[in-house]
Amino acid sequence: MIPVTIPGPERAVSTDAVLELRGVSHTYQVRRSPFRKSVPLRAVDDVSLCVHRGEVLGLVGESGCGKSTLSKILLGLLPPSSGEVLIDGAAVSGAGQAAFARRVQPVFQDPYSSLNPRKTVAQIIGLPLAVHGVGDRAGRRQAVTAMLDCVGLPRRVLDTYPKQLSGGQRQRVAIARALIMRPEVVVCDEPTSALDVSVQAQILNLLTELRRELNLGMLMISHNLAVIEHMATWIAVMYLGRIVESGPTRAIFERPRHPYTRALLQSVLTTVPGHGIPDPLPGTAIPNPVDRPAGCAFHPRCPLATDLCRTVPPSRVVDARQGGFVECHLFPAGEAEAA
Amino acid sequence: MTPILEVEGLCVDIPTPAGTLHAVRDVSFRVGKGEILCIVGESGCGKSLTSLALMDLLPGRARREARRLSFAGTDLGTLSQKAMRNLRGNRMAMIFQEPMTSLNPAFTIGNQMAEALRCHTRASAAEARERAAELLALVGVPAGRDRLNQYPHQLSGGLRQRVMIAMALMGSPDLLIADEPTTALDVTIQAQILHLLEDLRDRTGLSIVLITHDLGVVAQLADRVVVMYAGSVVEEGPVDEVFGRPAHPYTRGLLDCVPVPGRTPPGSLLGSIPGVVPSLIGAIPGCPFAARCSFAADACLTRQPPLRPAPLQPAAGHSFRCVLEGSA
Repeated sequence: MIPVTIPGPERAVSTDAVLELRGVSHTYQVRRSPFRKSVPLRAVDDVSLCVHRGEVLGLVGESGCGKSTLSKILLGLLPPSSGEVLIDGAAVSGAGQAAFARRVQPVFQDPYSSLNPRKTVAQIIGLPLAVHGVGDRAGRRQAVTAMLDCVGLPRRVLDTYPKQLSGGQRQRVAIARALIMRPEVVVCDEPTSALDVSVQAQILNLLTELRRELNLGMLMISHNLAVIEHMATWIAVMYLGRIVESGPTRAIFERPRHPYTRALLQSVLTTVPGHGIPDPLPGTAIPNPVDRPAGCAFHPRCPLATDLCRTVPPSRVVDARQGGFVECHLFPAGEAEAA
Repeated sequence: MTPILEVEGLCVDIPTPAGTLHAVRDVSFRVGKGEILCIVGESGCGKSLTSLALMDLLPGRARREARRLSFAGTDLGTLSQKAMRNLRGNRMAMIFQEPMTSLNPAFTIGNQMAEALRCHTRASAAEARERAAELLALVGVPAGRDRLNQYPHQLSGGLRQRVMIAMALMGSPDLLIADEPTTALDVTIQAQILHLLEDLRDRTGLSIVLITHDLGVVAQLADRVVVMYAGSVVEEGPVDEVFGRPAHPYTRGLLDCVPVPGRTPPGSLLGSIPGVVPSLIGAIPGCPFAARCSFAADACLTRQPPLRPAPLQPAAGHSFRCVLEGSA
């Protein structure tokens, strides 16, 4: 489809993990006032995740839970404080930014601010090819044209500027730019939340089609659980830097176990009238990650919290039957089936 | 239900170098006492300008015209600037989308809340503060009295939106206009704010006009809904009717675009509406949706059909603007 061959390591076609995080943590040093010592803020705490070829990992959580830090680590923009990032099973620490960027590409939330207003669409989409020194000028232009067809943009937009395009068209440009190097993983951070409802559906459909055609792995970050349920094959729920529950989408939606997951699912407002506004969680917001609550970080907002939850952090209980895990005292090891 | 707000034939025109932009075209609706009316539509459909026109807060060049614009028996169309200022923020209040940018960062919460009351009444500073503390408790801000001395940056997004709501309630309004009040918030906080609005309506009989593009919010919160497209109302009625039996092709298309957990098969392609919204400069001869409508016939290109009752439940007050029969 794209007449440019990209030199690089041979790509084995399998459903193995393309991109993997193993025990990744990231700590920022924050200073609350100029006169106080800086304190550590654990934005991401011991996270292990896998993105497989042709699958979509959905990451959900409230603002401030560390989703964006995690996506920066996945994009290789931020080195983790501890833990490993692996591509095809090999650690990437020594591979360098350019090699990483060939294989993992981002699509950002807001196509109004993520495209350079002074470059034409052809320049924006072709920039990764130029940076990586792929092909000559004519070959790159040809590749860009082919990519436009691929994301459903008319060829006449090649020499227009982003401001001449609608929001949906801009997001298509951003997707074309991300895909031009034929990456194996695309990290989509809220890819549709800046778009209108009818346009959102078009972009989600495009991502679904591209994923199937190109066998792309995808990490999709969204606060819209209806979208995540529709798109994701696997879900990870994040709370205050930790993945508190993960599993296949179906299992998570049919049998959510962690009280936080249940609360998130209940807060989905469907377009079928008559359900009413869901009961809200106690507590107004996510706690300050600098003062992490002792024990389970979720206990101040958890309707089922016990004394154990207030003192001892829960350990990870792996569900052997369907994969995935949950970190909650309500599900001690061995009783995972009871839910 | 006695209407608190009656809007008939509201138009908003904005002169541009390319011609006059008719942003709101002949919009009519009523809001009953204690009713929650949602105006839903995509960006550029005129829903925000409609709300600003009601409050007489349109940007400088925009012009407002209406056959009838009546709030609790007062004709807003002929009201002087001064009389309008007395109503605004007092009996008609508005909350905006971004709680981060619509609070003044340089003043304390208590200061800003008290101002809302002291502009309109002879309340003393102490009385205004007392009322502010009461309202913060009403909207569920924990430790409200201490918050009065805090600045907006010390509050989370959800708390700021509660402060905005409390501030709008300072003058005991009869009508609250909320423009996308939960768009910037997390889903868990969104549920809290929507609960709060519903609760305020139940307890104080407040009427609410909620402007949103989130169909889920409309489905669960609204009593009645107005669907706007390209400046016009295309469908209107009780939310159960409009969302349960949508009559206009645009409403149906919009509802198909949103995945419903448990109903839409995961991984399937969602419905979408091809094409783009027409330019709002100058007149649109036929139905504004005709170019994107898969049912469009020749008649659609020449004249804009009037709003008429939907065939299935004509008594329910469900009307739509389309030449097709609603069941098509």
